[in-house]
Amino acid sequence: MKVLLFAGLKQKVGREFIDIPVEQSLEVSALRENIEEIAPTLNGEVYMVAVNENFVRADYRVQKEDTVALIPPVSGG
Amino acid sequence: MKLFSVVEEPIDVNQYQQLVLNEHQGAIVTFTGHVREWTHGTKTVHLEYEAYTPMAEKMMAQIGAEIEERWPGVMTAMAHRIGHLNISDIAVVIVTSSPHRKNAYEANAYAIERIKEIVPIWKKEVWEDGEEWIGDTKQYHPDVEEEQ
Repeated sequence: MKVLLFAGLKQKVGREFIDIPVEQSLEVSALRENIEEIAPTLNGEVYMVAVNENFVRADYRVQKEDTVALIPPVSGG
Repeated sequence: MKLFSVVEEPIDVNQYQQLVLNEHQGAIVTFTGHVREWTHGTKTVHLEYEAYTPMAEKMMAQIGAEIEERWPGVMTAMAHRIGHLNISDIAVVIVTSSPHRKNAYEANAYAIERIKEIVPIWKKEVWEDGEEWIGDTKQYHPDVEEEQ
């Protein structure tokens, strides 16, 4: 599963996305744990998870075909 | 033209005003947010804005729907520019229109607060001696809407 990165998170990882292995689906809380392993440079970073362009909570179940993005605190305006 | 958009070109305010004008509306309130040179004593050379564009436009449309619910009859359009912006450039425009002015004022003030909470757009301040991505000082939680 491709997880999109933006702004400071993208800068930290040095890529626009990270790949997370997913068989069918997983909860957002598990996704966060996977991200910590695959991209340890993001440990301690604050972000929300968006699935198909909506914010979701920690117990939301992500399907492998979903579009997933990490959203650090926004600063538009 | 779209009512809710992320754009890369300079913002022409008049175009957005036209989007919310019809024979029912007697007032348009227009807010523009501009790039500021000085923030808490630090001099900004320019800003870089980045967006998760499809989600940003979706969240802006959601703000428009929230306004329609709170202030029936108010029409809303907004755009946020991304890329390289210089001092005093327009970063964001919000236009709200209503039959009478009060609702348009209130809805407009609401819209910019919500943009700063839920629209995935980020700015990087570039100074003479460095640069940094800026996060909202309010951080996250309460106002983020979750998909049900």
